[in-house]
Amino acid sequence: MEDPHASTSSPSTGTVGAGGHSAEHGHDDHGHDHSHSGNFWSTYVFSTDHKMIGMQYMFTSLIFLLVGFILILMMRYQLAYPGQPLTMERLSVNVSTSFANAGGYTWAWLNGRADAFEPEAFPETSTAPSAEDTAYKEQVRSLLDIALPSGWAASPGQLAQSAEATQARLQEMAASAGDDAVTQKVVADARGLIDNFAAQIAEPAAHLATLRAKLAETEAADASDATGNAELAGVITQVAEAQYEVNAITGYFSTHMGLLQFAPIPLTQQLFGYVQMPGGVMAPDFYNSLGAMHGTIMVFLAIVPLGFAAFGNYVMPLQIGAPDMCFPKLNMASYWIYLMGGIVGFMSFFVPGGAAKSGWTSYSPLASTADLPANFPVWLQWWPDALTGQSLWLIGLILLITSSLLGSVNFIATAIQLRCKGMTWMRLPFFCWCMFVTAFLLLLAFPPLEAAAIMQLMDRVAGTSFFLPTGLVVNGEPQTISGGGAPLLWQHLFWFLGHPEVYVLLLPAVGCVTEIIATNTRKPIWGYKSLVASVLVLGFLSFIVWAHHMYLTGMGTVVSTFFQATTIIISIPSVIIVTALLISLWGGSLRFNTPMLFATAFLPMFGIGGLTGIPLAFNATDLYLHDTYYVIAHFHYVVAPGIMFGLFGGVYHWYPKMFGRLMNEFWGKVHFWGSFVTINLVFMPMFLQGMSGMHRRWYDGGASWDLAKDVVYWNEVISISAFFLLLFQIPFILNVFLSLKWGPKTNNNPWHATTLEWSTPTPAGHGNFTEPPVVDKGPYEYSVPGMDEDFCPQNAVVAKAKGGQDLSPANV
Amino acid sequence: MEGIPYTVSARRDTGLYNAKLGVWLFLASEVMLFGGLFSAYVFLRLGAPEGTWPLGKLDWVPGFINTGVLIFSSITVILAWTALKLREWKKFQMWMGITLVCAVGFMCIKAYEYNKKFNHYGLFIKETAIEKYAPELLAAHAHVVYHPNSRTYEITGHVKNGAVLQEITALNELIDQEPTAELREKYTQQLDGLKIKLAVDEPPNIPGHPHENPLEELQAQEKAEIERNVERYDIEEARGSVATGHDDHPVVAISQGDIWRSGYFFPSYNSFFAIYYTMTGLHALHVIGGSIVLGYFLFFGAKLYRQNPEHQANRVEVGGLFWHLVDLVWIFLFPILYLL
Repeated sequence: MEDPHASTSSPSTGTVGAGGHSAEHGHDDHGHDHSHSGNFWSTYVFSTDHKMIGMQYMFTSLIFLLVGFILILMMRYQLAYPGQPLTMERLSVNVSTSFANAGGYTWAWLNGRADAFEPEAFPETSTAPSAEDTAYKEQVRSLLDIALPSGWAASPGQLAQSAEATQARLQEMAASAGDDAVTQKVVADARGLIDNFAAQIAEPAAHLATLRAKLAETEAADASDATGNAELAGVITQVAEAQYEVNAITGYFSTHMGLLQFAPIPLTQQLFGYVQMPGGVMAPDFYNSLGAMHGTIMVFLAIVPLGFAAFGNYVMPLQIGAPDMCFPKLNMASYWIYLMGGIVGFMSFFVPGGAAKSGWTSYSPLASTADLPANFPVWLQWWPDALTGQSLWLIGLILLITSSLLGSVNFIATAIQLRCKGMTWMRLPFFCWCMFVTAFLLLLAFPPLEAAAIMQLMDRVAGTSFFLPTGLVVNGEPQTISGGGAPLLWQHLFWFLGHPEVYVLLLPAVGCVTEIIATNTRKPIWGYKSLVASVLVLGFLSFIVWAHHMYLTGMGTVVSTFFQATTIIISIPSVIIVTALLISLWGGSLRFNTPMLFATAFLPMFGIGGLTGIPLAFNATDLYLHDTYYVIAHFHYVVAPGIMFGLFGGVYHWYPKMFGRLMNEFWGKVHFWGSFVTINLVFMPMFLQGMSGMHRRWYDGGASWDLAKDVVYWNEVISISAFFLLLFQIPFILNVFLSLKWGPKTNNNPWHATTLEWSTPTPAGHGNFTEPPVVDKGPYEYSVPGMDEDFCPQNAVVAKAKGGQDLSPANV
Repeated sequence: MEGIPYTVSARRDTGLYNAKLGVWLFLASEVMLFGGLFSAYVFLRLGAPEGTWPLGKLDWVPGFINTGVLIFSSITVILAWTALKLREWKKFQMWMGITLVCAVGFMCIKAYEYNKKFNHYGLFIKETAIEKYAPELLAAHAHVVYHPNSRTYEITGHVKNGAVLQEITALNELIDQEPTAELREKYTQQLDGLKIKLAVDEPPNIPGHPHENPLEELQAQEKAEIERNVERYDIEEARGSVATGHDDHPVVAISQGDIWRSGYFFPSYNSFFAIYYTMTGLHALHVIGGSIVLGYFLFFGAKLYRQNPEHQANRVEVGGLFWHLVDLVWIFLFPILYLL
């Protein structure tokens, strides 16, 4: 990571906004003992300073955000161009065909001939391989038939025969190859593998034959009184083991012979393997993995850590005037456990069977039985249950829950214990209230999911049936499990977290937006007290609405009536929050810098997301809409242009405090407008698709479904917009990194804001404040009548000037 | 600015030092964690068909002793804290030492209980084959439970011929690996012919839950048939032929081919043992974690005590609060798993 403190070993002495306090200060006049040695590791890596941990969280979660986004882009490619290989060449051909069709259709429509328009077809795909490829595959397969004859394992003699025959055939092929490139390549590719196979199989096969003879002897000697014989059992076990070894070697070679191919291997296949991306075409299971991991990464690894952990860690202690978090070591542990959880989850892409593929909700029994090694090819059955995709997902989740537990305890304790002198509850910046409520949601809603994750892990590893009903049949095979479990139990435990989680995502963004709006309208936030009350009510209600995610389970009318009612009630505090923020704009002197653009865009975008949720709150309409793209559009409007915009605004807003440099305004605006336009083009058409009944989990994007035929073309629009959305993130990424070095230097309070974080040195040293701040007024004292400046920091000592009247008003 | 305040002394308006608030929050989260598992217990138990939730599978005596051990250790941990508050280091060492001995004792008793269950076996006889075994089982006074979902009759006990289990495992493995169909067929037949000899359990004597043997019901339903085949259901005669085994429990032999599913009392055996091992295992992890923390205060706390005895007392208070939660969880676990 870039070194943010290096340039400011003698911090800026700008006192703008620091009121009566001097910001002159060196790093050595405050009390902490560690992190001052200049040791790189303890300062920048294993730091216990809340600001460094906040920045670590920020960079890590932004990286995960990008990863999660790229996963969904791969998925979008499959949806727009089903069955086409994912290579740069095909991408450009497909996208230009889409553009040509769009242009052609528009032209035809302008000329009134839209009905007669015939779209240009996409070029033929890899489903029709070249003649060389087919010939190559056939020759490899014929060699395979000779090398691995059926029933061969019974006799080593037969094995030797087939090895001889294979060699003879190979020589024959080599001799007759001539200029035939295909045959030459077959001989070259196959020879090494077949020799290797013959060398490896000889000894195990001979051993197996010996053991089989011994088994026959022992069986004959056994009186077979049908009550078991330990000696016989030992021999049978040996035979089974020897047979397993032979099967494994054969299975391994036959698979690898089958994987040989003539055409060059596309990059996506090299990255994700033949099973997941055969020939660069996405396999259905991999499509499911991408969807599941996109959701998981975005929710648990990107947005919660960015909103709650990064900004909360960095900003909240500064805003309440604390020297650090209550428990700095726990804070560090929280980050490192989070990182471990993220790596464990992400690495599951590279284990046999691939990553978790049962959705980010991981409903059982699908999730409990997916990718168990017992169903793997024989040479992979040794793979441990605990290291399959879904198990790693669960282990990663348990780590993340532990991390969030440490974080939330820390946040609540800090907010209660470490508020500086005069920082009463109703003088807290609204951002801190959001963090406070979010921390309670994490503290109380996450543990039941941890319990559920432990139980699902037990289902997968210890063979229990917590979520598996009696008589379960998987892939046509009745399972010999104890049964008696309840799939609904998982859903309840999951959504008991899942719904509060929505507010864990939302509230930090609301907090950021509030701070940005207050700063950039130069007037107090409208209705501070109602905002605080709303956020508390919201936090409480979020615990009793979870089953509205489960209307499709066929719950009874009494239960569903309760959850419909609470769901509608919870929209009241949400609307109060949005309305208060909207009214805050009224009559302000608005500064439309980049953070403000993001913050103002948040309001209508979140509004769209929220209002489109109302049909989903009612059982009757939800039954129709629930499994369609409508739901995807609804919650993505909340999360992507809503929450993510709020958090982007937060990055631009607090960046100068973190690094002492401003981000580039021009590229910030390019980032905003580009993202704003493309993200709406991505999600708005999904409402149309959903209302037309397009199911949200179709692997081919609905191409083969009659119901979707009128709206399926939107897939191309959505996917192309999503590719452009990625392009518009490049200015942001560059802006973040390049501004570390080349951004214009700034003073302590570039935005002329009032909250306490802007009266620390920039960047703040260890211990944050040069002297303990004392607060005597509310957080948003902007444009106080009669004052020279249009802002009055919370800790500013206001002279009883101008007529002897105390100008510092009471709470807003 | 000075370091973090209120690490030892309380903040005036909240009356708490940081760690005490922190641990209460942590305990709230723990309550939610175990709450999730308790609700799973309720969900699974209510979802089980009537009469199939296993009762009396656990011996209440060691569980009761363990409850006492944990409650006693909760008292001693308070006494340890009191001793520190009174600045009596020796007494602190004694009481904290007793607490740790209790923790170790709890784990030993738990291990003994687990081990006993790991050696207990149960099997589910297919409904279609039960007639073969009904007289023998009735004669043996076996505890038989009918499971309507899987349509099986469950009996439990101790396996008398352990070698057969080895052979069953070995054959199953071989059948999975065997490439040729004829050999698979041969080994499957061999497998089905094997017989498990089980020294069967008698019905547990649970007040309020009189045992109803489903076989007697079966017998009543098929009375006419029984009259035609008197000797097949002649209990007295069968009783003579039943050998006795473990603790004088009668032994019955069941063919593997007639068994739907069988196994030791591991988590995979049934929902009850699944939730039993999960909850008590997680609780045991908490006991271990708590003892490590308390042991650290006992064995490595002297230096801090000399420097700042109040800080050490606070640490023990916080650790003790956690220890009480561990105790409290057990107080709920004991009745729902052993008694109800």
